[in-house]
Amino acid sequence: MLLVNNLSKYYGKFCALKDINLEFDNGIYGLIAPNGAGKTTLIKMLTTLIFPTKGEILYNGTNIVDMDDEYRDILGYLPQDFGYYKNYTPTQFLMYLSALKGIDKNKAEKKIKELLELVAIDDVADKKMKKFSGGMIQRVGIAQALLNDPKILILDEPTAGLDPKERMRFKNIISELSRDRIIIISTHIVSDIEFIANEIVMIKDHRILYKDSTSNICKSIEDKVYETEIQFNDSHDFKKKYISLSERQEGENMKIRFICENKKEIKSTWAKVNPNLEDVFLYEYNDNLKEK
Amino acid sequence: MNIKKYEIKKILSSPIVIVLMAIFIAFNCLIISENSYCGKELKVLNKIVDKVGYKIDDEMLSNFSELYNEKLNKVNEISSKKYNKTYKSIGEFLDENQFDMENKNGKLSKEEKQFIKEAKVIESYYILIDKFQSAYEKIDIRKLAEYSIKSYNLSGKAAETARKQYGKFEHRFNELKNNGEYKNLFFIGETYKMHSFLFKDIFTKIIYEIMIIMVLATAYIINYEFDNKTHLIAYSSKRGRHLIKDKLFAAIAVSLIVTTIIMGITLGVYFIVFDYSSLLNVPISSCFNWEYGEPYMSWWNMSFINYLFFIIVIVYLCELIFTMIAFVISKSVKNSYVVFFIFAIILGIGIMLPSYMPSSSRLIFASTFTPFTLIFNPSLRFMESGPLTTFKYYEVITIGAWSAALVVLSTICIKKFKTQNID
Repeated sequence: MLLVNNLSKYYGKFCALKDINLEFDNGIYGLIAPNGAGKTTLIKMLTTLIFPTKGEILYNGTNIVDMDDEYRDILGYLPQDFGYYKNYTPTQFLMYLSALKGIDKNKAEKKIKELLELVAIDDVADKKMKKFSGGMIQRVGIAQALLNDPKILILDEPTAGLDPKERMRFKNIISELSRDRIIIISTHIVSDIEFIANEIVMIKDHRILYKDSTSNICKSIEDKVYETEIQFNDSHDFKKKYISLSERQEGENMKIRFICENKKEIKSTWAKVNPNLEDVFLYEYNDNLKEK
Repeated sequence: MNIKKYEIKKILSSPIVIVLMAIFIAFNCLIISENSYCGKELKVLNKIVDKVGYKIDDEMLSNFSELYNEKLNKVNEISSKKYNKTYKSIGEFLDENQFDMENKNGKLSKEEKQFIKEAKVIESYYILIDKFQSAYEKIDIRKLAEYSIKSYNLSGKAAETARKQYGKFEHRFNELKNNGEYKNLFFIGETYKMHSFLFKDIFTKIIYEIMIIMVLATAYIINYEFDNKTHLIAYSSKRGRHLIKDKLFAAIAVSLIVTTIIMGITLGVYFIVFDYSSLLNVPISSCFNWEYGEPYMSWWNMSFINYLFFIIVIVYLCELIFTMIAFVISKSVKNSYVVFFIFAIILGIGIMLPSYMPSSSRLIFASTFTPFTLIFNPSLRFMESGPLTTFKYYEVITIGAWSAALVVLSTICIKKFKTQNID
C-alpha cells in the first residue's frame, strides 16, 4: 500500500501542493487536474525525483526516500515529456534502461521482445527511433515503464499521441495489469480513465478535491446537469448565466449541455441528464467557462 | 552490458570526441613530420653510442677518439683523391667544399656526401664533449639563483624562500657533478633542442588537446540525460542518482582511453621518426641536454626513459584532475559549451595567478601549485625550473593536493545530487 501523508511542497514561497493525504491499493487511479494544479509535482514526489517540503510517502509503512533503490526497483514511470535517445533503436534503448533497472541481460532481452510485441512496435524493434512518430515513441515509453514488471506504475499523460485504436489497446493492457499493482494515471483526457479507473483523484488549488469512485464523484453534480436546444442568437446570454459543458449544432439550433445550480431556474424544456466525469471536471475547473 | 560500459560507449561514440581526436592526432603527426628533417642526424648519435657507449669516461673518450680519427682519415682519403688535399678537421673540409657538398654535379658521390655529413656529426659530438663538460663545471647555482630572483623581481620573504630552495638544489647539483651524471652523451641540445621539442612542444599540445576533449566529454556525459530529456526515467530507475557515479567513472575511464590513444599514437610516431633506441638510459641531466641559459638539471637521477615515464604519469594524472574539475562544474552548469567556457576562465586565472601575486610574499609560491602552472612547461618538470617552482616535490604536492581536494568536491557534488530536486 502506498500512503501519502500530509504532503506539502513549496518552491520558496510558492506552494505547489498542500497537505495531501492519499492512499493507494492495487487498482487504477486517475489523477485529474488542470495544468499548474500540482499534478506533476505529486507524480515527481511519488517517483522520488523531487522531495517533499513537509510530510512523507510510505510504501508498506516505510518512507520511500529511505527505501531508496528498493522502492525504485518496484516503480515504473512514464513521464509526460518522455525523452529518448534518437540514435538508438527501441531494443538498444530498452536494454540500457534494463541495465538502469538492474535487470539481468538475458532476462531483459526476453522481456523487451515481449513488451515490444505488447505495444505493437516489434516490427521496428531495430530501427533508429529518430524516424518514429509521436505515437510510436509513446509506445516505447509505455514499454519502458513496464520493463521491471513494476508494483507501482505511474503514467503521466500516457495516451498523448496515440490514435483511437492504440488508446483502446492501452486501456486493455492497463486493465489487465491492474489486478496486482497500483497504477496511477495522470491525464487530461478524462474519457481514457473514466471507465477503467477504480478511483479518481482530483486536485484543485494545490489540494485534494476528490478521491473517490467515478460514480460517487459524479453524484456531486447530480441534478445540476441539463441539456436543451437554444437558438444561436441566444447562446451568448445563455452562457453568461450557466456553465456550458458541451455544445453541438442541431439543425438551426444549438444543443447545449450545461450546469444549472439554482433549481428555481429550471425550465420544463430542459432535459436532466446523468453527469459524467468530464462534466465534473469542467464544473470544478470552470474559471473561464462562463462567458462575460 | 553494464551501466558503466553504456556510459563509456555514449562518450566514445560522440561525434565531437571522434572528430577532435582525429584532428588532434593528425595535427601532432604534422608537427612531428615538419621537424623530421634532423632525424637522420639524430640517428648518428645512436651509432656512436652503439660503438663507444654514452657514458663519458677515459675508456669511452679513447674509443671515441679512435672512431673520430677513423672517420677523419676516411674523409681525408676521399679529399686527397678528389681534391688532392687533407684537412685537420671535417669542419674545415666542409668550409672549403660546401659548394660541392650541395652540388649534385660536384666531384663527390652521393654516398661520399652522406658519409662526410655523418662524419661531421660525429666530429661535433667529439669536439663538444670538452666544451660542455667544462661549461658544466663552471655553473654556479647561487649565481643562477640570484639571477633568477632578479629576473622575477622577487624580494623579501619570497626571495628568501627562493634562495632556500636553490640552496637545497645546490646539494643536488653537487651530487650531480660528483657522480658524473652529467657526463653522458645525448642529442646536442643547442642544435636540435629535442628535449623542449618533445617535452614542451609535443607534450604541451597533447595535454591541452586531451584537456579540451575531456572537458567537453565530461560535460556531455554528465548532462546527457538532461539534454535528451531522459533524466526523469533514468534518475527514477533502480540505479537512480547513483548513475552520476557511473558517469563520473565513465568520464575518468574515457580520460584514460583518450590520453592513451592521443599520447600513444603521437609518441609512437615521434619515436619512429626520431631514433632514441640507444639513448633510453642516458641520464636526463646530461650536459649535452643544454638548450638555453642553463642545462636541464633534474632533482633526481633519472634516465631519459624514466623521465619520459614520469611525464606520461603526470599527463595521465593532470587529465584526471581536469576531468574532475569539469565534473564539478558540470554538476552546476547544464550546457556543455558553457562548462567549457567556465573551465577556460579557470585555466586562464590559474595560469595568470602568479603574475598577480605580490612578488615579496610567499603567496606567489602557493599560486604556482596548480595543475595549470604544472602543465605550463612540461619540459621543466622534476627539474630546476626557475625561482617559483624549484621545489623538490612540486609535482607531487600539486597533484596530490588537487586530487584530494577534487575527490572531496566530487563526493560533495554526488551527495548533494542525491538530495537535489530533479525537474
